[in-house]
Amino acid sequence: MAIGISDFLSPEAMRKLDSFSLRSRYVVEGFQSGGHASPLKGASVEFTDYRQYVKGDNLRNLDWKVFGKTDRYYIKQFEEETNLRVQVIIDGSGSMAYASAGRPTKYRYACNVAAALGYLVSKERDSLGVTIYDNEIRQHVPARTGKRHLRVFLERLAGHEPKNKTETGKALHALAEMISRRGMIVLLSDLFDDPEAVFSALAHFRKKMHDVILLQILDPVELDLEIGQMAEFLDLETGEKMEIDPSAARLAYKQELQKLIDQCREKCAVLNVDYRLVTTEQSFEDFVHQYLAERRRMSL
Amino acid sequence: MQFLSPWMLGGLAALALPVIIHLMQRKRVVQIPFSTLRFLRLVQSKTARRSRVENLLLLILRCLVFALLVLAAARPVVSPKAANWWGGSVPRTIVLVIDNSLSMNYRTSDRTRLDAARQQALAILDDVRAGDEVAVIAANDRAQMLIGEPTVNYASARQAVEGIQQTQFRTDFGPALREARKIVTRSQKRIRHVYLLTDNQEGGWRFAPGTVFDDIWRDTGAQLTVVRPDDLTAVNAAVTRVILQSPFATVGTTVRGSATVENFSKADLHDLLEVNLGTQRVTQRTVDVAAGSATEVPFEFPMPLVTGDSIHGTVSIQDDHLPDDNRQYFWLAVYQPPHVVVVEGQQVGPESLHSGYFLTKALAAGGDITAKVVSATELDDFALEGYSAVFICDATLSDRALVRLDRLLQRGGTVAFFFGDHSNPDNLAHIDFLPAKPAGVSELPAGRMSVRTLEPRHPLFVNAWDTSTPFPALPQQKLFNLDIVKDAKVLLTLGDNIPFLIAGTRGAGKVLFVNASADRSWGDLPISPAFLPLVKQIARWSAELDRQLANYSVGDGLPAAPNLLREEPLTVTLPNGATQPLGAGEWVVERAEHAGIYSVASPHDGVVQQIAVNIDPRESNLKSITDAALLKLAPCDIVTGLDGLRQWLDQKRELTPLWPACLLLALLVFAAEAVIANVMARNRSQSAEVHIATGRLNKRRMSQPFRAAAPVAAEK
Repeated sequence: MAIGISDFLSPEAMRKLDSFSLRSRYVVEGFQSGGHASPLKGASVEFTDYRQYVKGDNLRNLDWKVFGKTDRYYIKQFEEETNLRVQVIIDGSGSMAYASAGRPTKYRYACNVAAALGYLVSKERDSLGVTIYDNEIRQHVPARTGKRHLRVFLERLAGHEPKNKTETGKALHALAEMISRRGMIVLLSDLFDDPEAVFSALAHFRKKMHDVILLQILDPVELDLEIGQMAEFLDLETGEKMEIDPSAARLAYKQELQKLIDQCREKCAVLNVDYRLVTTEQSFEDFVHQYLAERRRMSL
Repeated sequence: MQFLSPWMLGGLAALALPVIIHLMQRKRVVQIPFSTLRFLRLVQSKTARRSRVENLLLLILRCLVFALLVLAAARPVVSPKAANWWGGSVPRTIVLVIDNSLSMNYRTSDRTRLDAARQQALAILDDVRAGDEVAVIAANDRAQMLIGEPTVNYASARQAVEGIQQTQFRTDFGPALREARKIVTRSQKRIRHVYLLTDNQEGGWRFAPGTVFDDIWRDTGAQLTVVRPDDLTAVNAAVTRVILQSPFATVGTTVRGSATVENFSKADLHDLLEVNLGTQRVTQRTVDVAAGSATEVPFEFPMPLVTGDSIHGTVSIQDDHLPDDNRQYFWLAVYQPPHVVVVEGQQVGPESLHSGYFLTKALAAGGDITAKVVSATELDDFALEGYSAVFICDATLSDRALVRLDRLLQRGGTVAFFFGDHSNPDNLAHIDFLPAKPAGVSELPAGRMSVRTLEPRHPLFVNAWDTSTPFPALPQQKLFNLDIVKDAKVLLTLGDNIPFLIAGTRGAGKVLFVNASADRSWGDLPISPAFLPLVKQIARWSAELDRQLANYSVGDGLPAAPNLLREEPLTVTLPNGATQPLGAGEWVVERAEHAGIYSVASPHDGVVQQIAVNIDPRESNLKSITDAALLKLAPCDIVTGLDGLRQWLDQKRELTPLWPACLLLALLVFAAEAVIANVMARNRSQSAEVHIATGRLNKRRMSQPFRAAAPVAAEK
């Protein structure tokens, strides 16, 4: 059975998304003309700067008005606009399979958010790619445009089952080497991994001038550890078991988790990574709308 | 530590309850798949141990609450030594009241009940703790304060207990318990114990309980413990009374009397009654007394030849467990021919017309009485010493004569008045020792008039007249109308209750008023068959001492005879052979301590007074008061025997209870458990209120690259 956008988004959600667009905060390198700023100067309506004429320059770009006033030769420069290459990276490890009662798994939530972003990117005729990893890259689809490609994108999301341990650093480093042109990287993960390795990989992306969005997805129970009784916890990634009294451990647990989140915030701030923490308690449509609205507001 | 209700310790099995609940809680652990144990692993080392310690602490505290409650229910107590060790012993005032009355001389096997009481008292003294103070009182019918002021010198207390002497006094716990009450009232100690070590004789509790167990006693919190012997069944019989029909005995005559033998046992008594005079047994009778009853045993014996004017004797039965009351002491006056004086008022004419003629003849009959006849005027200068009686026959007496008569009476002599036509009522009115005052003469109709004896047992009538031989009728023609003086006794009446023979006293002496003449002027009494015995009885009675009729018991004061001549030193010989000088007071001894004969002797006249003292017959009834009756009278604990006392000391009195402390401790532990559980719950609820910070930081970070152009330019 074919997977379509309607498997992830309701018509109402799609209608709401139509008024938004996902824009990069930085210039990006596309392969065709589009609505995003490009580092290349070329034919465009967007004037950017003047420069001294040098021999060999196209005289079409010579500003005669300035020559008439100043008797000097200046060349008018225009910003080239190109399309956006968005690579969605999803943590597909075992920990993403966790869901508390009545809530979706973190992986499903990540897929929903990715689908919404993909729909938005595809609508803008930008390029969209997806990478799913656990301890290594399990699925990788390079960024392309077209509605057919969106279906491939969605099929890859639906076709993965979260399992195995997480090795985010290793997978992201490999991916960073695979993506040569600067674009937008959207990472959806619970970040239950070695923070140093994760942010080392994110720094790698940033070094390659990618606009990086980091969405940390957590279940509310993971935040509050609201489990009333003595329990034996089973690690979804390693199968390890541990007996613990959640009520007694709650405070220390929260402190440790808070450390991780604070660390993520600090690192993201340093790396200029757009970091957001989202819980599966909030509907993904609300989160995407809220997030996009916020980005749009910030960019005005 | 001991437990008064050890079976309650079975409740300790309930301790398994919290443990089982704890273990069941552990088994109910559910498995929860979780995204990662990374953080839990980090916190486990911090919290798991703490949580385990907290839960274990709560488990221990809950078990401890259960255990303490069970312990309290088992009523733990600690020994005095243990209580001393942790400072729980409270000094006490202990008053030992030890019964040393006659009944405590009841002997079983080789020891008396007093020996047992001594042993019990020493057991109590063995149990005293440092700081306790002890008083010792001996109880009989009085309180004997051996250690009246409580002391911590236990050696002297032991000495006092060991030195308690057996007495023959009767039992009355009232005085001793009142003294014990005074001691516990004065005591500053918080715990006050009074131990009454006794055979618990019923007669000892006949005092008013309210005089001891009043509000003051209750306020002191004093505890009375009655310690009684193991064996409360007593076998005892006693000679409780001896009556001699003749006040004095004449050598060769038969002395008659009776003894009352009471059997206080539950078995019939077959015994032999012996009568001894001095050391000589004079008669023997078999005695059968049914259980719980009394029998009067008559006896008689010929009066043997004795020297002196009195002899003492005993009436006894065979010895039993309580030998003191098996004999009764008596003494018997040996008849001594009396010397009398006859005062004739009329000595005119032939001797047969003298007013004292018939009287003198009657006294001379038999030859045993020596009579000296004097006129009324001769009496003024007549020395009456050596005479026991004076017969006044129709004489008018001068004041000097009356003084002499009064002296005679004060010494114990007898004055008998006969009247006649020459008796002047006015003159008689001046004689203040007359038992009746004449108020004119009455004429009686001719013929004999019946005589009624108002006191048949009076010494004047003993061995002369009784119900089988009544006082004969008298041919009386005249007599005085009389006003009887207060305290005088009418012994005989004539006809229609006309006083005929009236007896009165003056000092130690006796005054007799015969409402008739000694001659034939007022009737034919002198020639009637009643005259001679009456005159002889008066003469003999005059030689007798009234004191022999008195019945004295151990504990009584023994009065000295009023006619004792104190000019010479007198010596009192006690029944135990000890002698002591007779004091100037009115008592031979103020309190007779032993049964037997108390003799007063002078250097010249020998024994001048003898007093027989016997056991109080009430003391012979050894019946113990029942527990129910005792508890009605006094709030007390009743302990039986030495073993029972030791058990009681161990189990109740001397042990310090620990269960209040257990209850208090359980309460404290419960409070601690509640506080700890509450703190733990609060900590956990507080941890739930701590939320992870999200959101705001994101916004701030996100705003930076959009608003600041610098980073973008840098990238360019």
